[in-house]
Amino acid sequence: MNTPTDLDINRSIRRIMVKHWIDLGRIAVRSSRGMVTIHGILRRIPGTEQELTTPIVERIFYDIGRLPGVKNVRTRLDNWGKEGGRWHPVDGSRAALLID
Amino acid sequence: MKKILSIDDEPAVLKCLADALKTRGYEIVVTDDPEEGLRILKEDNDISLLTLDVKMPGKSGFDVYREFRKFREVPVLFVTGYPKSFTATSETISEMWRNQFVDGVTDIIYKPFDLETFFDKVESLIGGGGEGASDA
Repeated sequence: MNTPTDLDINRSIRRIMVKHWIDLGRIAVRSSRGMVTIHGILRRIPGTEQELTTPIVERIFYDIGRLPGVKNVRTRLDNWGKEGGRWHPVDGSRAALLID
Repeated sequence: MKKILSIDDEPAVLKCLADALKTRGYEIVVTDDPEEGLRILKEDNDISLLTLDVKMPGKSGFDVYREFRKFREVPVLFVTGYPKSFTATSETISEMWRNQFVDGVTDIIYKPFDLETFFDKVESLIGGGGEGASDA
């Protein structure tokens, strides 16, 4: 099996994001030789039934980390942080401003 | 050289996108007419990416998207100043999200945006422009 290219990885990450109704317009994904960077605001598009929760966010990054070709995932999110290995929402004025 | 088609009803936006993308070594084709855009997509097999406005008179970006996806799969970057266009309460969006966005070659950028974010989105979909790129 061929090693996935960075474009393949980006595509797979977008698939995961879409599956979870993540607003693609708020987030940017970039891969370079399997090193993935994700930054922006992680939130669902308006009108979805459930807000993002810690288990959902953990699932998203677990799935991304397991994608073939992914060596490392670096995140810079305005509204979610990771502490002690666990994701949690961050109250940020910038995120709040952009949400409404 | 990778070729990008931009469809937007605002000529100033088209000029801005074209000028920016040229500095990164992409070849750009622009039109402010969605029907013309569909014709180009049918005839020009070299198009690597479509940047698509959402709100346009006559035919919306969503109409264009659903029409051309019947005959071609080209990565798409929606460029819009209306984030609320993408809402799960809309049947159109829900259906596109479930059946087409899930293929992973569609992305969205909201105006206003900085050029670095725009280039990130484009490169994430089709890679760099290659020859002809400059810092201008």
